Amino acid sequence: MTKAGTTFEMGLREYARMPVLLVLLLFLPAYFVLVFTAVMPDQSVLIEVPVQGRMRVAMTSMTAVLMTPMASALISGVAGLFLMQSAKAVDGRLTIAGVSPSAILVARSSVLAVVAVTAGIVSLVVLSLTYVPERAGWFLAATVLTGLQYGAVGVVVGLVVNRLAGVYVLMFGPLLDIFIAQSPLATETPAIAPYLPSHYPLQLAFDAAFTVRIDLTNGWLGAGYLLGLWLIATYTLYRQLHI
Amino acid sequence: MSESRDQSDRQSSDREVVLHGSDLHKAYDSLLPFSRSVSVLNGADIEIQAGEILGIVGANGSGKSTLMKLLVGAIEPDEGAVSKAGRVGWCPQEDLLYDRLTVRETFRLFGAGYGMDQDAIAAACDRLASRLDFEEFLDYRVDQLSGGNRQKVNLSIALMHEPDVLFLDEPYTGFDWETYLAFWDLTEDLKARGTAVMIISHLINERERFDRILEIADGTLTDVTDTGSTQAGGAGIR
Amino acid sequence: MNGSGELSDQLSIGLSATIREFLRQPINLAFLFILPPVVITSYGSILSTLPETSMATSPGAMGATAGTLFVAAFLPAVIGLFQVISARRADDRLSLAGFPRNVLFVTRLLAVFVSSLLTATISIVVLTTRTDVHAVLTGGCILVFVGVLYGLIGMLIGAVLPRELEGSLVLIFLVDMDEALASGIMETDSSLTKLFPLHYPHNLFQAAVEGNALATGDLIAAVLYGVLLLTSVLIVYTQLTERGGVLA
Repeated sequence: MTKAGTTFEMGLREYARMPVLLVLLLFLPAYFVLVFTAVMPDQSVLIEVPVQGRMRVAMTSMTAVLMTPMASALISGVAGLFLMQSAKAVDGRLTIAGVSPSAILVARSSVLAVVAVTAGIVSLVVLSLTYVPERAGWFLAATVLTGLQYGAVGVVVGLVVNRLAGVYVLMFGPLLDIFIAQSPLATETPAIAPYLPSHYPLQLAFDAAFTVRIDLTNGWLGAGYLLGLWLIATYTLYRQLHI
Repeated sequence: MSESRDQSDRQSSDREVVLHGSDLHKAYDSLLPFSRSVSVLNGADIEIQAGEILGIVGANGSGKSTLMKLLVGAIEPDEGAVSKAGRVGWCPQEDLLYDRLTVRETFRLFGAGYGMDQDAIAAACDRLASRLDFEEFLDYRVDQLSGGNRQKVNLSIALMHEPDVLFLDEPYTGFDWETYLAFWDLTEDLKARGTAVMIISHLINERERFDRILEIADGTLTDVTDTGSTQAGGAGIR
Repeated sequence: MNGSGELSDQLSIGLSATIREFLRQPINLAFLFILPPVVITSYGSILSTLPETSMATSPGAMGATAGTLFVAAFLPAVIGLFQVISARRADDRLSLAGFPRNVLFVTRLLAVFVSSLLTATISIVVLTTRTDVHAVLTGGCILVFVGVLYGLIGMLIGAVLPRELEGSLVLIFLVDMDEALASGIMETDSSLTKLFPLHYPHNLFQAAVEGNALATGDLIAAVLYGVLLLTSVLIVYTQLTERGGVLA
């Protein structure tokens, strides 16, 4: 197995040995989506769906669809933050042993991807109790993409600032981005919205949730944004491991 | 003793230099105003020869660990250069290990980093576990080990790939007497094999085990093998 | 006499040590000052794009108000969480040195109170630049209350789940959900929302900002919530921190 492969395997084993975390990984997205669904009134609301324009949907469905990628973002963001923070010192020793920083980042990113996919699947399953997206596969992809982006944000934040500051960023960032800036209730897109991580994945998510048509451009742009975040993470990690 | 040291000196001058650090400078600066900037190394020079056991002494905060980290490559010097010939093994002062991996898994991970195949990793694991007496803990998680056993694993990770230069920072912290003796047996075997061993220790009270002792003071290194450390009495104990 | 003098000494020493430890990480201080204006301004600007409803408050002003409440809550919450988790071993040692657990608890709570005071002051000042605040002092006091409330929640989570990753996850999910429900951005009609910490303080704060009378029911409910939370956290903290939390 390659060095990155072995590092990935061991990273996954470490995560699998945190039973409370595993429980939270299942429970928190479920709690998030279900509570929001439970408290929303039984009425319809006009929302902006990118590929369709204005359309009327059930409030519970809209909320559940919005909260699903948000749950994935929160889980992956915090995982990314602590993944890098807790392993920083030992990863330095691992690079001296011969595992390159890029191999470490690939391995850690892969663990994060597993976390993001798991959180996405759990969130989608819970969402499906209330509302089944029109294109569930693409909706899952958009949810996972949102999670991966915030995982990358968590990684960068974890490398640059301390944990307390990192938690501030992750407490505030996804909520502002997803719940506020990307809200489909808005009559006009806030100026900052396209520059925030979840913009393109959420455009894809809403299309996939409420229509049979999707605009793949959003997917590509979201993937491009993700690539940019990971390049920043790579550069930051190299700087950290060569102080 | 004097004759053997003269002989040792003649032999040491014939040995290959496996690591050379020249004009090493390192300061820890803060980005913030009014914060302390700490200059640790000011033009330190060091040469390590194959098969020698080199001791590094110095007061607390004198830069011993910083020097070691520079030589190993964990941090970059502000000025100066380090050149190495061969493989390096590093046992840091704090046990830098992944807490939730088992001892065996830790060997697998670091062994993969060193480029060892599975058989070589397994052999090294068994050999070192037997030598340092932690065989019964191979399937324990690192965070389940006592301090002494963690240190044994910490040391073993540095040794497993049979390095040419071995850097040990306070290696016998937490060792019981038997393990301490086993450690020195191991070091003698490494020396005989031609491995250079650099040890930072506060306990250089068995001076005859060391070929040379260098002291860090004011950011530079001085050979105190014959004169004794300024930090210690004649016995070298602080 | 000696007893109360010794107690106040312990409290002041503990509090000043906690504050100094926090202040010696400049990034913490930077976030404490930078985040309130960033959050409140962002909320106000972005939410102004929501459609006008029949509510008296414009979406922008509602957003700024919601953002103010959010930042007043989450900053002390994180401080409370990390204080308990990070200082666990130090607190064990202090306890052996003679600091009773309840004194340590009060010390941590005082530190949360100081951070709440600071955050509330900065937040209410920023809010007054975004919208008219009719009862500034009342609004400020409510923000301090919210900060202490969430600081207690942070301490509770830290005592039960004394690991930073797990504790942070739980706190973030709780705070974000509470804020989203209390913000008024989405109308809800479930009594379930009354169980969340920000529900009554949000109504009170909204009233203070708009210059309306504080509803007695909301006031009593908020205070009761606070008292229950304080009692629960004190019991849980002193019991569980001796044993290292539920995960020990």
